[in-house]
Amino acid sequence: MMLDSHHAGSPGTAHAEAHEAHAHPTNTGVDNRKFAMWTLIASECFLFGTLIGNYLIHKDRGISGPKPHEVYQIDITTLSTFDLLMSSVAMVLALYYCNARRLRLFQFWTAVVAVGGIIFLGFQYYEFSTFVVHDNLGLSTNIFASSFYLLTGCHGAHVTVGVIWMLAILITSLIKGEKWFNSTMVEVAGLYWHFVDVVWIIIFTVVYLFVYV
Amino acid sequence: MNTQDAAHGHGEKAHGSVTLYMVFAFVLCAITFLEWWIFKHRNSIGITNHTMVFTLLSLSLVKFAMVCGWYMHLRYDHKSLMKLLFGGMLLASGTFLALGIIVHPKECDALKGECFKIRDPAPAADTTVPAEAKPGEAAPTAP
Repeated sequence: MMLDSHHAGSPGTAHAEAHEAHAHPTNTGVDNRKFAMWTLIASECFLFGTLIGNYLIHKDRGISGPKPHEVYQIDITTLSTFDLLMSSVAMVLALYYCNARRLRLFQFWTAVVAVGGIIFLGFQYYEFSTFVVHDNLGLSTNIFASSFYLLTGCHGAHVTVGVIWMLAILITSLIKGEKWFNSTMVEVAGLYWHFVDVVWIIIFTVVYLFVYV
Repeated sequence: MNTQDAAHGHGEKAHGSVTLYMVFAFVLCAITFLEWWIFKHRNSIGITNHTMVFTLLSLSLVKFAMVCGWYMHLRYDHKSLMKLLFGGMLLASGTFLALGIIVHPKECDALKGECFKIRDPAPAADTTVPAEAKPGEAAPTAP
């Protein structure tokens, strides 16, 4: 019988046993939803690898408009990186308390994840608007701008989806209360959120910190 | 016991505690701060480009491993999930290399802007054909 992998050894063992009755056997040894999420993550690696490669090739090839080192605000981007990292910590704590069946703490940390994502999007909005208004760097100004907006915009879209997902989980748990404890659902959402964080770890280094390289 | 039971019964360890997650959060923040500090003080500490790239990439890989291994529980999960992730990363690296080869910077430089620079438009050709004087006739004179 399949058992949610996250239940093993976690505080919600009793719930895991209860949930086991509803679980389905899989031939991969992993919950199908979780396996599907990891498959999505693998394909997303492919997507972001391509976008980062595209950016690195084109970042210094703009023939008009500002260059990367003229527009980047590393201090602000570092703050947004801190924010996303902390939201990832909040996510893992939300999953921990979901397994422990501590409803209020689970809801609190899920809300922190969503707020962290919204703050990150606020940073991104500020960055994009500064580029456009102050630096005259629009989407089609040069090839650097196009590849930069494509990469960071795609990541921002992923963060937006994650925020909506977190809010949906939070609202559902608020409505259903103690009856709603779906560890696998939270774990799958958490995998997505951590992946978005991991992608930003790479983008922060390769796109922002390598600006003079 | 089927594969599923085997995976969960023997292949997994207990997940982390709140203390461990908090320690990791502190380390992640410290590494990010260190990255920012290296970037800000790259001139004063006299670090070369190659060293900076190596250092920053190493630090980001440590963060990557921490988030994937502990926060995403890859360290405790089924091995096939790790294979999936590394498969995706391998594909990404292959595409990255292919892009680099297709649009090689030196190749484009050799073409002197044929790739990316817009050439100056050629001067418009004069379409008026001057009247040629036939043999035996006087050349047309300007008014």
